[in-house]
Formats: sequence, C-alpha cells, structure tokens
Amino acid sequence: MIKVSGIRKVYRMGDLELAVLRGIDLEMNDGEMVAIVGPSGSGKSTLMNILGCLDKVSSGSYKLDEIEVTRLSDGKLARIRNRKIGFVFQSYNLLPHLNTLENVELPLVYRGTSNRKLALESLEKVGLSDRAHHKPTELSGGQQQRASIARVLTQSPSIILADEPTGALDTHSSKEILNLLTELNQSEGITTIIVTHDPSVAARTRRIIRIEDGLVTSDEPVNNGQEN
Amino acid sequence: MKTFQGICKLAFKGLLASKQRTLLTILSVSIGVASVVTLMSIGKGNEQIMVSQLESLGTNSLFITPGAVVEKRVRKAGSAITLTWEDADAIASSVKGVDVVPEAQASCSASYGGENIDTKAIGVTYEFEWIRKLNLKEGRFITPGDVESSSLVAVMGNKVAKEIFKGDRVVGSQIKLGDNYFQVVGLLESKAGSGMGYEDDSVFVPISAVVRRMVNVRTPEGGHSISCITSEVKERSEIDQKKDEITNLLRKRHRLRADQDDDFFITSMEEQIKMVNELSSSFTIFLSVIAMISLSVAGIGIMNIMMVSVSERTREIGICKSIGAMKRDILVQFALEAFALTVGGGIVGIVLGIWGLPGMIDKIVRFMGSGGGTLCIVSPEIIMMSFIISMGTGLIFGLYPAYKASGLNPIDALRK
Repeated sequence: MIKVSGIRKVYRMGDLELAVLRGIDLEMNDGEMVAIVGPSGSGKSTLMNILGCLDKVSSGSYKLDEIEVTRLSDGKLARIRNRKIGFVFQSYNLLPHLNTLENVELPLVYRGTSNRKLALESLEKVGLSDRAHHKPTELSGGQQQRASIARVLTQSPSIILADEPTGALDTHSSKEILNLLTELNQSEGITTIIVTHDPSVAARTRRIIRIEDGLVTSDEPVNNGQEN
Repeated sequence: MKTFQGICKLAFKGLLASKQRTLLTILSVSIGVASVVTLMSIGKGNEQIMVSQLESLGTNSLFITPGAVVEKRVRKAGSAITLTWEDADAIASSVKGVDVVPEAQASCSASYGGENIDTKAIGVTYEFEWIRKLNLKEGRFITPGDVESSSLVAVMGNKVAKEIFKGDRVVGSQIKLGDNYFQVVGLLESKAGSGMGYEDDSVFVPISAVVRRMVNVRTPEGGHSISCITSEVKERSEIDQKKDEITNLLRKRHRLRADQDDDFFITSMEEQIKMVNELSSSFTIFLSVIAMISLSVAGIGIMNIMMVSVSERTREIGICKSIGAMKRDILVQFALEAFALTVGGGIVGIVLGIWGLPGMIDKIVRFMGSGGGTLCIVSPEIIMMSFIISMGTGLIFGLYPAYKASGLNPIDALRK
C-alpha cells in the first residue's frame, strides 16, 4: 500500500528554484496495476524515483506499507529497495561483466541469501533459462528486459516500478514484456507501476494517473473494454 | 558472511572485466614492492658484508695505532712516531692472555721482469697468518726464523701477484721491493668478498726486514717505529681489562705524565663493528626511504586507477544500489578490488625482488669487478615487511576511491 501526500521536489540551481513536483497526493492499493503518464519534463520520472526510494523528497510524506519512508536512513532505504521494490528500466540496467544468471541472483547476494536455484527458477518464469550463462551483451533487447524482470522476480518485491520498460523495444518484444508484467501482476499480486508516454502501454493497465507540471491532473480507471 | 562471499566474487569479476588495467596495476605495484625488497636486501647485505669483513679480522682484536702529530695543539695529518716494535714486545711479555702482532708498513714499488707497480710491503710476524685468518695457496708464510734473521723473503697477496707475475711461477721467483731483492716463498689465496681486500694488494715480509732495511725510522729513545699493533685477546670478557693494561703499559713506556693525553689509539673490534653497524643501518634507512617513495608512487597509481574505475563504473554502482546494495557493500567491493591488486602485485613483487633483481644486481656488481659474494640478503622479515607495506598501500590508496564510490547517491549514479 502506497500513500503519498503533499510531495514536493525542488531543485536549487544557485538562486533559481525549480519545482519538479509541486504537491502530489496519491494512494495505490496492493496488487494494483497503474500507469503514470505525462509529457516529458512533467515530473513523472522524478515521482517514480521517489516511489522507488532512489531519490528523496523536499517535503511531504510517503508511506510504504505504513512505514514513513522519508525519514529512513540510507541503509534502511537500501534494504527497502532490496526487498520491496523491483525496478524495470528502459535501459535494462544489467551489469555487463556478469552473466544473466549472476545478474538475476545479484539482489540475493546483497540480501546475504545467495540462491542460484531461485535465480534459475526466475529465469525459467521469463523463458530465458537457456540464456543463463550468456553475458547481457549477447542478448537481444527483449531478452535483456526479460532478464531484468527475472531479477525483479528473485527479489519477490511488493512493488514493481517500470520506467518506460518498452521504450527501447520493437513492437513484438514490447508486447511480450507487457504480457509478462500483466501476468506477474495477476498471478503474484505485485503492485505494478509503469511510467510511460505511450498511450497503448498505459491502456494495458487498469488505472492511469496523468501528471503535468508536477501536479496530478487526472486519475482515472481504464475501461476494460478498451483493452485489445 | 554469505554477502561477503558474493561481494568477493563481484570484486573478482570486476577485476577480470578489465584485464589490461588489472595487469598494469599489478605490474606497477610489483615493481614498487620489488624495489623495496631489493633495496632493503642490499642494505642488509651490505651491512653483513662489512661486519663479516671486520669479523674476519678477529672479533677479540684490539688495534693499537700511533697518535696523530700534534703541533701547538693542532692536529696534523699523518701519524706520530710513537709506536715501536719494542712496545709490541713489551706488551707480549708483560700483558698476559694476549697475542701480539706488530705491523710495519712501507709503500714501495715492486718490480719483476719489466713490470713495475706501486704496492705496500707489510712487515709482520708469523702470528699474523692465523690472527688474520690468511690462507696460503702455495708455499709458506713468514716464520719466526725469518723475523729473527731479517730474511729477505716475501709472501705475495693474490691480486698483486697476478698483476706483477702475469702467470709466471710466483713461489721461488725473486722480486725487487724498493731497493732490496726478496725471495718469494708464499702466495696467499684471494680474500675478495670476505676480506677487506688489502691483503690481496699487499706483499708480506718479515717485520725486521721492513724496520731495518726499508723504513728505518727511530724514536728519540731508539725504538723502531711501526704502524700498528694488533692484540688478540684470548678471553672475550677480558677485552676491556686488557685494553686498560696495555694503555697503562704504553703510557709508562712513553713516559707520559698524568696530565698528558695518550700518544696512541686503542680501538677494539667491537667498537669498530658498532660504528660500521651504525653507518650501514643509516644506509639501510636511506635505501628504505627511496623504496618507500617508489612504493608510494605505485600507491598513487592504484588510487588513480581505482578513481578511474569508480567514475567509469558509476552507473554500475547506481544499478547495484537500485537493487539494494548498501553503502557498505560497495565500499567492501571496491576496497577488495584495490586490496587484491596490491596483494597480487605484492606477491609478484616479492618474487621479483627475491629471484629477479638481486641476481641481476649481483651480476652487474661482479661484472664491474668490485668484490664478489652475495650482495643482497633477503630475510623473512624483509619479505613480511614488504608484504605488509604493500597491503597497507592498497588499503590506504584504495579506500578513498572506494569510499567515494560508496557515497554516491543512487539516482545520481544511475543517471551517468
């Protein structure tokens, strides 16, 4: 359960103050699948980084599963990222010198519970077990994105944050990735938040939050009938 | 613990990912460490050589030399004519428990065939042979009879014999020293490497031949002036006592009043060894400082490389942080990488320092012809020390970049 109220994010450049988020209020229930849309520069990525505990708010409150995240130390935030939040980035963000399996296992290394078998199972779930010992550079874009989703699966997080997950993929791979995310949302009940500017991606979710100029301008459920 | 294992693996993979950089760093550290090992070994070896050279003269020896010439309270160059052969005889007869060898030196030219070289004729008695631990290669040494009858016989030092006889038979030949012809009766083995070398360059003759036929300098009392008396004390514990006894005897013989200074010097071998030790340890310190400088250059090299590595891998650090790597994890990973580089370099450097460089330096020194023997002595302490120093360098110079890497804000790191 995510509860955000009055979040502001201000960047200072000398005397200039640039407010990227100007007071965001949001609530997301467990198991929801949400799209955050908006033009570039609207603050949607900043919002995602804050939701993912990668960035800190200037003011406001962010409660994740009843925990006030804004007051946590760096160490505690790292722990939350490790256990509760799974990221899917546009650029996959796999470590180039580790093979697929090692990349998928990495969150468990930091958790201190390395488990090769679990990592292999995650790779199997995304249909990539035959690529376990390949380096990321030897995989296609779609395969790399599936590997990064497998990495999220080994974390078994309560939230998946996907920032333009299909931004660098062709239509076929995009469809695959979205199917995978939808499936995980439905089978594992993981809250899934997708940041995108692509209306067709947003349409695959069940709720679209529009952000413009650092404010929420609309927050509406998706009509299921529109799904193709 | 499991986290640590995993991070070790990550550090290892990180190093493997940039093999060239890893190899170059190891190379720079190993050269630094090798130079530490080599320089410290040279210092140690040098110390050992000097001490063993002195010890080969006998550790229980007291050296008595004439005092300096003092004119109107100003010390002049050269030695006074205060020490005599008769002093030596007096010490031998009235101080118990010492063996006495007088030495009278005469610089002269030695000629044989057409050859003519400058050398030193050293007049000694038969005891000189065993007190100085000389080994004969051929023939015999000076005998008591030779001294008794001032025989014109000579025992050749190895090097001077080679220079003057050039492969001719040495023992049995005649050689002209100064104005006198001497019969060569013996040839010494080379002392190079263990001796001071002066035995190799000298010709030994009976002391009586020197003081009567070559440099007939007399004291006002009619004594035969000589250059040095070596007293070998039989019991090591009695050295100081014998030194006092000899001092008193000589003062009495030289008729010195209580307010007058000694007109001779007595130094014990122990004092000389102590002096040499002090000298050579300051030499070792000097070498160590140079070695430290070279090692700190290597250390800065590591820091440089780790810094580059950190900024090159900022994004990677961001990725690791996004999936939950703590500050500590990143710190450990980068510190481990630096540590592995220095320990690796340290091992290579020690191997290089033990088997590579000293051998090379030995060869160069031998090639240049100055002495022989092992110049470098590698001791376990030196190895331990260089290993610890290299690890220390790794930690000191590796921790800062690691600390910098770990403190990166995840989102800033990811944006790189």
